Amino acid sequence: MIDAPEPILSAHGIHKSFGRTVALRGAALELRPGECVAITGPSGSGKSTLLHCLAGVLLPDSGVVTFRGARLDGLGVDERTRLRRISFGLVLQFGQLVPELTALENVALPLLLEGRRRPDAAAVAAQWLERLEVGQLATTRPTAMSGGEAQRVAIARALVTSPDIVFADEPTGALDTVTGELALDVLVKATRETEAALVLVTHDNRVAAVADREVVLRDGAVEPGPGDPA
Amino acid sequence: MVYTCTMSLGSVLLGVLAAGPAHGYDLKRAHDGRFPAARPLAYGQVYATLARLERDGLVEQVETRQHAGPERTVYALTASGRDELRRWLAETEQPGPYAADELVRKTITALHTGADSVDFLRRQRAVHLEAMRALTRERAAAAEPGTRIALDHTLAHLDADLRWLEETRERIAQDGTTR
Amino acid sequence: MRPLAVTVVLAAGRGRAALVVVTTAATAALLLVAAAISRVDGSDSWNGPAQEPLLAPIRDPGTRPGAVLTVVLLTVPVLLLLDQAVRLGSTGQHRRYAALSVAGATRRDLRRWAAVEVGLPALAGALLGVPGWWLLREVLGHRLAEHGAALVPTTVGPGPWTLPVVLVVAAYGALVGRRRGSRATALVARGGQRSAPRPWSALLVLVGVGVLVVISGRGGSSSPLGLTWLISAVVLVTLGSVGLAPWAAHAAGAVAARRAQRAPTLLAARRLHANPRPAGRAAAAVGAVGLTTGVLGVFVADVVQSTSSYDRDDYLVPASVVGVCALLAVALIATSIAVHSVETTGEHRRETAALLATGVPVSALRAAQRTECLLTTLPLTLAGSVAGSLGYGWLVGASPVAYAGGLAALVLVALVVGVSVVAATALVRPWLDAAVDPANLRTE
Repeated sequence: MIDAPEPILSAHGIHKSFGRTVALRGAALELRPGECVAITGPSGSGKSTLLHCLAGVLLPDSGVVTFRGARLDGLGVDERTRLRRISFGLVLQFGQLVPELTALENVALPLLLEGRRRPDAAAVAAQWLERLEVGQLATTRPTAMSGGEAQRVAIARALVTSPDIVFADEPTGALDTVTGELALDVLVKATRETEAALVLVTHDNRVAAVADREVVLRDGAVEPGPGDPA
Repeated sequence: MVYTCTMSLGSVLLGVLAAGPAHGYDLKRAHDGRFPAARPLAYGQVYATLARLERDGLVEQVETRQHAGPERTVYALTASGRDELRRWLAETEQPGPYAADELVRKTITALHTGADSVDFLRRQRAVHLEAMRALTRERAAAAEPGTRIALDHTLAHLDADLRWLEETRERIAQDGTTR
Repeated sequence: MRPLAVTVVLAAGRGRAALVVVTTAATAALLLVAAAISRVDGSDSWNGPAQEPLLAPIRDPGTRPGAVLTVVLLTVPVLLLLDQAVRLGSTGQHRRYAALSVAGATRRDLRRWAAVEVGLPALAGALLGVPGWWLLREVLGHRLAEHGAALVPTTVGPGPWTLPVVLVVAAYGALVGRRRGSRATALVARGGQRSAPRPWSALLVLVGVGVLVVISGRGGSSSPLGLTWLISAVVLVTLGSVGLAPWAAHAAGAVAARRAQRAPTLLAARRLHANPRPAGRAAAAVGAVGLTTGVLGVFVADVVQSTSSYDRDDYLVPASVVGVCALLAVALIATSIAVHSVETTGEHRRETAALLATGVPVSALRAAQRTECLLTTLPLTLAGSVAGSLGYGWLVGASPVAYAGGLAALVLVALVVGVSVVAATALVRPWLDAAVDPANLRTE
């Protein structure tokens, strides 16, 4: 047996309902440092809700999510916000960049909120844009970008704080196959290089194939793996 | 005219020779590089095909090199070989039909015999996804665009299989609830 | 089934309809008061038949037109708020119109629909203006008449003016709705964005200033012709400044965004830069209010210093009435900016929710909203106030004490702007909280 490192994030018995709709019923997941996990499942199986619970965007109705041993529900609102800003990165399908800000400002935003000085923040943000091959878009606003370009800028923003975990919710969902594959390559490569763990929510098998392993969600619970007892 | 499997190998080799004269070993290497997902060519197959192409007047021997190794015959395209290649490239391919392969046969048989098809489908998904993972890694490492495109084709087919597996599960579940 | 017109109005949202009713009612009531003042009888108020215990500037035929104008101008901030209210839910309107045009509605149909959407509540509001006027007469007329300082005439009403006022206000509402509708239908057709404002209005200002320079070189405005030129120059400068305001807001936003060190300031400045028109309109109004308060500050200090205590009230009461109106106007304008800010936030609710999800605290978003409102209102209020103080002070040759009064007015109006902005943003907080709901992140 190989010694598996301690999980960096773990979730157990997660239940979450929206009104009368039950999204999650006892979902669980463990994430090890630097690991890439795909959360898949039919639409409506609770993938996005699980991601939001893992990322501390939503608090589950019951169940526990711990990050580095600390329960997320034990943290105050401000602490959780800061955790999302510093330790987590979030990439959505679309519409996550502030439309009024330029690409550079969008990427620099988390650093500014951390109290970094504007020139420093801008310099780091510019490096990330270069790294994701969208350096020429620094002064462009999201409304003037293509979908693939906007996703690269979003990835830069997610990674600019060197997070421990990047959460991506259908990151290629709004892109065509080839553009999506390029954006996904960039996301995976960049998270590997920064040794961040990556949680990918997707309904696309080709996206799921990028991950080290797959967690299948069905009716709000994780389906047992092929080796596990059903 | 009947096109056999070897005929299409012949066309592929004509395509490789279009880049310039080459000997049998070069042809094998170029072929294997272009089609990483296919089984590597055997030398015998290469030489048999070349002989047939030569017989049909599509290729010709241009020189025989001998350096440190064994004697090697260099082949080149003839004018009619070039025509044949152009004709083959211009012609569309027959789509499918995809015959029921082992996966389909097994799934349907399992359904009829009342075996635990859900568990089978789940395990099959894991196997398919593992294959896709390996190919995806290979594709990430591939430098040549042709190699990536060939791997994309295999990945797309595995993806189609996986989606079919998923839909099958949904159908079984729905039949289970409506029955 | 409901009548179609009611369905149309309700589809646009109850909150929006309610705001339209309130603002048009206030406008109509103010205009009716203005009409009533203009109908106060007697060229010589001391000997005239209708002795009314009105406030001096309203009673005095020489200053009465000024009083009427002041009341009419009071409708400007109210109309600004109406303009913002009509924008509420414009994303929903856009979507609704897109669906309707797919279903076969022509652009004319949609414009008519939009006119009904706003025109109907505007008509209701305009009709409510009549009881509104009556209420104002009770409170600011009869009650204040006991102190001999009635602001609203009690012996005459608006009379034949009532119907035209009601119709004009309702028609204005319909017009605003129709304009909004053609914006929405144009968006449906083009899906485009408006281009950045250009500083062409500066030409008007330049021409106006040129005229001023020329007539002052020719020896002033004593002749009737000179007066005409002076007035047209002032009109040109005013129109130019108002037209320049969106461009100024756009440019100020860009400069502030480049200099911003903190995230909320950056967000606020960029929002101003990206969407300067509503801010520009409000800024022009707020600049005018600033000007008024600046003049008032010097005027009041001057009066207190130089007039005997017996006469003082004759000046101070109207001054304080104007002052209170000006401050009310500031509060209204601040509210309209806050409504605008929350509307754009609502339009981008997915992006706003994503900001929160990526670790931007709600407090930073609230701070950005406050900063946006302050950036829009404060600079021009202060500039207007300083210009008013210095201009009026120079005109009357005010003493340093009088200038101190101007300074006090500056501080007061800045405070009122600050408090109004904080209060207005607190008022629209529920909408911001709704925009940051993680449910907005969902795509399924």
